[in-house]
Amino acid sequence: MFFWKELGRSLGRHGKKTAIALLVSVALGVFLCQFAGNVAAQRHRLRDLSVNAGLRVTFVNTSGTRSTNILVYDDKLQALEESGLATPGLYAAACLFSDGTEDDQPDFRNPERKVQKVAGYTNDTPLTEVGADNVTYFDGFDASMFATDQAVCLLPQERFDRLGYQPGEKVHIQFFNGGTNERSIFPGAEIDVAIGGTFRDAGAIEPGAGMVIPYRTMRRGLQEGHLSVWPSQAYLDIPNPEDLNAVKALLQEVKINPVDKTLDYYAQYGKTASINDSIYIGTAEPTRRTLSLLQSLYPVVFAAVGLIALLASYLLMQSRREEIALQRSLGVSKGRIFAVFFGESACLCLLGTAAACLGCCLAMGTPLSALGLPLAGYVLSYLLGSGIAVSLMLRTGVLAVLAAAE
Amino acid sequence: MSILTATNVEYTYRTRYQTVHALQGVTCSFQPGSAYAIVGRSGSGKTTLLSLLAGLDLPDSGEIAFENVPTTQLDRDKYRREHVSVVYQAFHLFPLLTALENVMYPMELTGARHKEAKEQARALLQQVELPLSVEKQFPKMMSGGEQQRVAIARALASNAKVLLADEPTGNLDSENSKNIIDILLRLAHDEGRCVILITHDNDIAAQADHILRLKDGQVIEST
Ligand SMILES: Nc1ncnc2c1ncn2[C@@H]1O[C@H](COP(=O)(O)OP(=O)(O)O)[C@@H](O)[C@H]1O
Ligand SMILES: [Mg+2]
Repeated sequence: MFFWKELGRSLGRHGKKTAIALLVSVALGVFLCQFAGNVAAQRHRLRDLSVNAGLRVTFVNTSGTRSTNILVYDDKLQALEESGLATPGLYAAACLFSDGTEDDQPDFRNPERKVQKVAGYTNDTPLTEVGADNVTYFDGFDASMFATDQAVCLLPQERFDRLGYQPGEKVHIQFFNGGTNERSIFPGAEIDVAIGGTFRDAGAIEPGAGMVIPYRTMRRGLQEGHLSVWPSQAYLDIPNPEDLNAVKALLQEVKINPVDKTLDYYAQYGKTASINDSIYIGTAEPTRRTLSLLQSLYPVVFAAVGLIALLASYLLMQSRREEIALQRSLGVSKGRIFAVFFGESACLCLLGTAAACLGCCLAMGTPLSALGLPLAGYVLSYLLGSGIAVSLMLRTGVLAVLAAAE
Repeated sequence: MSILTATNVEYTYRTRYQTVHALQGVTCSFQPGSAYAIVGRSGSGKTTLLSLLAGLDLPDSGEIAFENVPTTQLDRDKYRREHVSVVYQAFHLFPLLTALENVMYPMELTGARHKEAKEQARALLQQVELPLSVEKQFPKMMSGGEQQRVAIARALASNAKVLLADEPTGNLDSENSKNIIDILLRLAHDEGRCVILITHDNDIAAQADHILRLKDGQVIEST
């Protein structure tokens, strides 16, 4: 009981000293809130940048454009997919197929083979680019089929009508594709594909296709015949910007040169990809550097706060040496004196911090949550500082003080 | 039986610059109900002896014993709270407490209720012949004589059996000095306390029951 009374009296009657100590703690608190607010703002900025980075690896051809064959091997796309660092965006490729209808035409390399062109897409973008009503899905089918390797297809509306197919009907086809030998084509797998819908226009990437299937269905069909898919277009998204460097390393590993697409110089035979990371790198890196610099300064800030608290407390208590000595001579234990003086410091620190905190939150809009940990650190260093000051004060001899005053 | 004894007490101040043998084998004993005067030149070790008696420090060798228990074995904070009180030449009141609060302090420290402490403090202020008007004053506003009376009242508040006073009249005029000494002597003779006071003044020393003369840290005369 008396402890609290004494604490209150000590705070109340040392008006000027209390005010000075309070001012110091408010000033330190404001300084720290500013600092923590800055760190929070940088962190926020970095998070925003990451979320909105929209990083994308786009494979380009030798002239840096994406509209013609990019000559990237499909196995390289697979390697990127399997790394988990990048998620496939739109892939587009074409190969050949035969369905035994009159639409099969003799191939120019091998007139014995009668084939037509089939397009493979990872999603229906090229089809919908033509117009919203370009594609009609039958019951039980929708655009999500392009994300799978199911045996499904879309047919040109004209072929569907002319050949008298039914929705969902299975068509037997065989894949073909050219090998490295330009003068021949080779057979892939034979599969039954269900007709999931129709389209009127195959789009700009693979015009004139007699069928459109999911890219991965094509991949499966050709791989069974030890043939490769030759994508004409591909990009992958990097959802987590932190993975940017890992993706670049992987590209290097599979011998693809990530380049600025304005620099044709580097482009070599389809081993080229461009990454739209210049804005991200230009802003995220400096932000990250600033952030880590600020964060590494925390110990210094805390040390400074502790030191200032120590000095301020020590100076203020220096003027109360006589009081402390007197208490000692009246038999007040060191522990109790420490508790009262330290309690005083703690009250002032907490009060000052609360005021500073409130002020900063109101004035600068710093969220309280961002201040939590730094403030805890601040209060700790402040209390440590003033605790050391009180302990130092308690070491001065009672006699020396009381006798000196005589 | 002695309430307080010093046996072969030695005490040395060691600073970076010098070593002072302040007490060199002091032996003396004090009875309750008597007033003792410690006299001697400045620097002879009077204050040092008093401080050791008050348990503010321990002798380097020899022992101080309160009721036959050496101060080395006492909880010296408790000892100072309950059994011994000191009055200083410079009064040493808490500057931000009123006269009444100063006197209440030792009582509240040992857990007395506010109301009882207040009543008792008032009685003590009366005992040292202070008018009621003083009780709300802060030390700054009081005269030296008033401050020393408050200091004595505070020393009595813990009901200590031993009262130590280091030149209690050193800062007072002769009239006030006389009053203070009267009060101290009465505390010894009427209340059976053991009063030990340091003084320069031979007249005051003569009023005490016993005189202890120190020189260069040794007792050269004891009556
Ligand atoms: N805190 C101290 N540090 C060093 N020397 C001291 C200290 N206090 C007292 N002394 C020395 O010890 C001796 C005795 O001092 P003290 O007991 O105060 O004498 P008195 O009270 O009789 O004047 C003196 O020589 C004094 O200078
Ligand atoms: Mg002295």
